[in-house]
Formats: sequence, C-alpha cells, structure tokens
Amino acid sequence: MAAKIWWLASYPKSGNTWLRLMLAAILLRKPPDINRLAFLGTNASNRLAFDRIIGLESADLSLKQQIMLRPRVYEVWAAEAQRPLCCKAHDAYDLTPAGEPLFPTAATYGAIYVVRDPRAVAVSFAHHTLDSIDGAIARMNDPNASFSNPSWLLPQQLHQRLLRWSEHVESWLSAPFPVHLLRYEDMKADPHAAFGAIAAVLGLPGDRESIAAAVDATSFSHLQAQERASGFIEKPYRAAAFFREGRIDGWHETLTAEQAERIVAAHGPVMRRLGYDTTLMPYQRQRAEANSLQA
Amino acid sequence: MNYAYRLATLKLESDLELLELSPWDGPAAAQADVAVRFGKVPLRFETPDRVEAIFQTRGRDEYLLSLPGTGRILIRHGREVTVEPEADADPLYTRALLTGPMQAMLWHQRGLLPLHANAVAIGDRAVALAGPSAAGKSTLAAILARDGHLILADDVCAVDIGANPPRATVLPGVAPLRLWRDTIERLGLPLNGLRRALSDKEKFLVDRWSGCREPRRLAAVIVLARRMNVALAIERLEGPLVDRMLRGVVHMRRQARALCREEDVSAGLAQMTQAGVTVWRLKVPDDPGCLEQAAAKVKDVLEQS
Repeated sequence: MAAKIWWLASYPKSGNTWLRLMLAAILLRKPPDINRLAFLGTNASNRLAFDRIIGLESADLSLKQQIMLRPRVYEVWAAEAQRPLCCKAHDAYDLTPAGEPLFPTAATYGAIYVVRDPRAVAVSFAHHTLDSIDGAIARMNDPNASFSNPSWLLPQQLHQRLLRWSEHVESWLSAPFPVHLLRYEDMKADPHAAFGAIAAVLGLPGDRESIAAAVDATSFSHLQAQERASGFIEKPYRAAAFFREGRIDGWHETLTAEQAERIVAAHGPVMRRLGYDTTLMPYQRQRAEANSLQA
Repeated sequence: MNYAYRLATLKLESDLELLELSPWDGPAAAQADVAVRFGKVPLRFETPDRVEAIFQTRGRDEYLLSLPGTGRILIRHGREVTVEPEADADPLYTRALLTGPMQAMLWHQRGLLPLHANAVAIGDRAVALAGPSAAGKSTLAAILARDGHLILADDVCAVDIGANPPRATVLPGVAPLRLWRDTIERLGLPLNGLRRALSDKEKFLVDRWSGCREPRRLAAVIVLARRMNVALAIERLEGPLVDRMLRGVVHMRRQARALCREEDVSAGLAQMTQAGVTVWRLKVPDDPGCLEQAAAKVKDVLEQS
C-alpha cells in the first residue's frame, strides 16, 4: 500500500470535528475553512466516495452488502493514497457480516479516539438530532443504534452502526492497532498539550508555535463565526447550528439529576475507566442539596 | 430465454424478468442484440489485465463483477451478460444491478458514452440531469415529468456521439423512475399499487408518466451539486471545468478506465461539447423543498441552450 489511514474515531458529538479542524490548521498553517476538510481524508461513511470506488450505487446495494464492501473501499483509499490519510469515523469498531473488521488492519496505521463525557454528549446529541434529551439518552443506550439508515429516503451518508455509547468506546479501545485516546475535556483544558501529543503521534509539526496558532485558529468563537457566515456542510439541515456551545460542563445546567443518574447507571464503568467523575450531579441537585444543608 | 425487451434501439433477451425495461415491440423474429443468461461465471479471469476491489477486466470487452450477496456477473463484447447468482441472492437487487450499472457497462463496451444521469425530453431536445446518488436527479426528473415533459432515461443516460457532423444523441433507456417514498409523498403521489424497486427499501418503480421512445439531441448536461447551506443557483460552466465536471458524471468510469477506454471517454466528451452540448452546475440546498424551484431553473437552461 502507498500509505495508510489514521482513523479519527468518536461517538457523534464528541469533538471529532474540532480535532479535524486542528489537524487542518496545523497542516495548512492558517485558519482552516470549516467546509474544506476533505483533504485530510474522506469520511468513512461518505456515500459518494464508496460509490466511486466500488463502481456501483450503494443505494442499490443491501445494507449487508454495503457493510461487507466497506473494507474494500478503505483498502483502495490506502493503496491510492499519496500520503497518510486522516479519516473521520463515527461507526463503532465492528466486524462485517463476513467476520472481518470494518476497518481493515492492513490499511490502518491506528486511530485517534476522541471521547467526551456522555452526559455532555447526550445534550449535544439531542440538539444535533432534534431529539429530546431522554431520546438521546435512550439512543446512547441502544445496542442497535445507528446513523443514516432510513428505509424511505436516501441519506447522504452510509449507514453507521454506533452500538451503545460505552460499547462504542470499548470497541475502539480494544481494536488491534494503536489507539490514542483523546478526551474532549483535556482538549478544552489544555489544548496545547492535547494537540501537541496528537501531532507527535501523527508526525505533524508539533512545535509550540504551530500548535498555539492552530489552537487560536480553531477557537470556538472563530468556528461559530465561520458557520454563521458560510454555513457548515456537516450540519443536519434542520439543526439550528453545529458549533453550538462546546462547553464541557453545560450538562450540569441542562440535565436533570435523574437523567444524569440514568447515564451513569448505563455507562458508569466505562466513564470511570476514562476518568469521568460519576458522582457529579447537575447544579440544580447540588444547589438543592446545599440549600437543604443550610436549612 | 424467457423475456424480450427493448433497450434503446436494441433487442434484449433475458432469463430474468427485468420490470424496468419495456417489452420488445419489434419483429418477434428479430435476433437479440444483448442476451442476459443464467450460467456459470468463473471466479476470476486466468489472465486479467486489471484487478480491482470487486471486479476484474480483460482487454477492452470483458468485465467480471464479483459481488458478495448477489453473485458473479460477466459482461462480454457488449452483447453477452452471464449471471451466476448466489444461492440466497435477492432477485430485486440483481435486477437493479442489471438495469443500472451493468447497463452502463454494456454501453461502454458498445462504444457509447453512458452518463450517470436522468434524461428528460423537453420539446425535441434532451437535458441530462447528472450527479451522484442522493443529488436529486430522479426527483427533479419526476417534477419535470409531472409538468408534462417526457422521461427518456432513469439513472443511466446513454449518449450516442458522432463526429461528422458533431452530434450527441440521448437514447431512450429505462423509463420508470425509481423514487423513494419520501419523494413520492412530497410530490403528492399515491403509493398504492407501486412495485418495489428493492425488497427491503421503500424505493418504488413509478411509471405513471409517459416515456419518450425516440432519441433526442442532447442540449445540456446539468450537474447537480447538493450541499448544505448553499443558495439555489445555476451557472454555465466554461473552459477546463467543463471537461472536469463531465468526467465526473461518466457512469462506471473507473471500470471503463480498467477496460482501457479512457481515451474513448475523453474523445466522446470532447465531441459532445463540439456538438454544442452546454454544461451547467446546479447548486441545490439540502432541502427537498427547493427542487421545485430547481426544476424551473432547468427549463430556463433549455431556453438558453
């Protein structure tokens, strides 16, 4: 193969886009256009790219056939790549019906797996899919959860199997190639350190100046301003905005205590493994507890 | 052979029922131009010239597809199609494959230029609505058909190109449109009685509109670019962009290249523009409601071509 693929993998709404924008800023040495990230590598679920390689329309293939052919597509991407590719993936790391990995090891260097506190993911996911928070929580705990598989219309993306949130995390962390875990919260707390480490893994310029410039170029306010000015091609057309808040603690204000507890009950072991404090509660609960203590 | 159909000017005989095609209406004794048969297909060519992910080629006229879940299909010399289905292959998927991309392969082997486009006859000319899956080609064609224009071809638009004098003619192809339920409901059409194009998807064969049975001069190729957050707009392309956009909408181009037919494709595209075919880019927002306005822009193009 000419080169291989780094998978930029994550559950949806976990910071994947920010990671890609950062990598683009480091490579371009200037603020990236949020609508021109394809040069990094094609999204794993890109229908058009699949159709182009396979030479058949995925729309006229069964779901099983699409899944079975996806490893072939990635092998071609790798074989034809002039340089290492960084391809976004929201699918869980999974096996095809033929029993082979969806993301073929031979075409893969490794993965950067971006993870975010599932309580924050639930809030963002609800906004992204125009669902209720309860709906988003249920989806994150559904072993059959998937993206882009309606039977009545043709979505732009291929079907993506998500599994449960914690299964998604575990699937990638146990993949048979190097997987570098990147926590969204660490990206926010110290982007210079977080992205510097990722640049080192990917062999990109990791000097302090390059990383600082890239962090500045991809600040949330810059991304929001670009989205307001020119739109963002990855935003679902009914959603109000893609770059919405980007906060790490917004869930404290949005979730009810019961919702937060439900997420912890479903995903607690994996959350703790990732260093998330499962004893944290929404502010309203903390305030109520503080008030009752004062009383 | 169980079935006889018309595909453009050709008589196609088939062991499989191909509901998308019109029954053969020429002389019953006419010899078949294309034969689709069930039969043994080799796992691979002994001496392939090109091996790709799911297909192989040998020379300019032999293409072997090996598709898990469907089976193997061998197409030779633009005349012979041999199908060896897997035991549990879904016949509707096989049918869609044969009337879609395999039809395009036949045209390549027969020296015609297949575009990934829906063709609609507007007056005595044709417009090709080109673009990838999910771009809105069939929906736009349906809107034009509802407004009284004739469907020439769904999804595969075979263009017959000649040099002296330059000409580009669209041959009539598969006339029923294959539409998703979402589109059918948006157009206010009844779902009752429609036949499914695919067994586990709500995609239907819609043949309520008249098909055009005669070839039509190709006046314009309109390449649909569906994007989030773009304004609906159409622009005529000039210069090198014309060739680049047209190459992007050649059906089965990767396979044609594997058959060493890239030069044929290049020559065909050049002759197409010499024949006066204009090329346009139609930017369509990712909002299905805009396709009605997009159809109006398509009609405007014909007035300018």
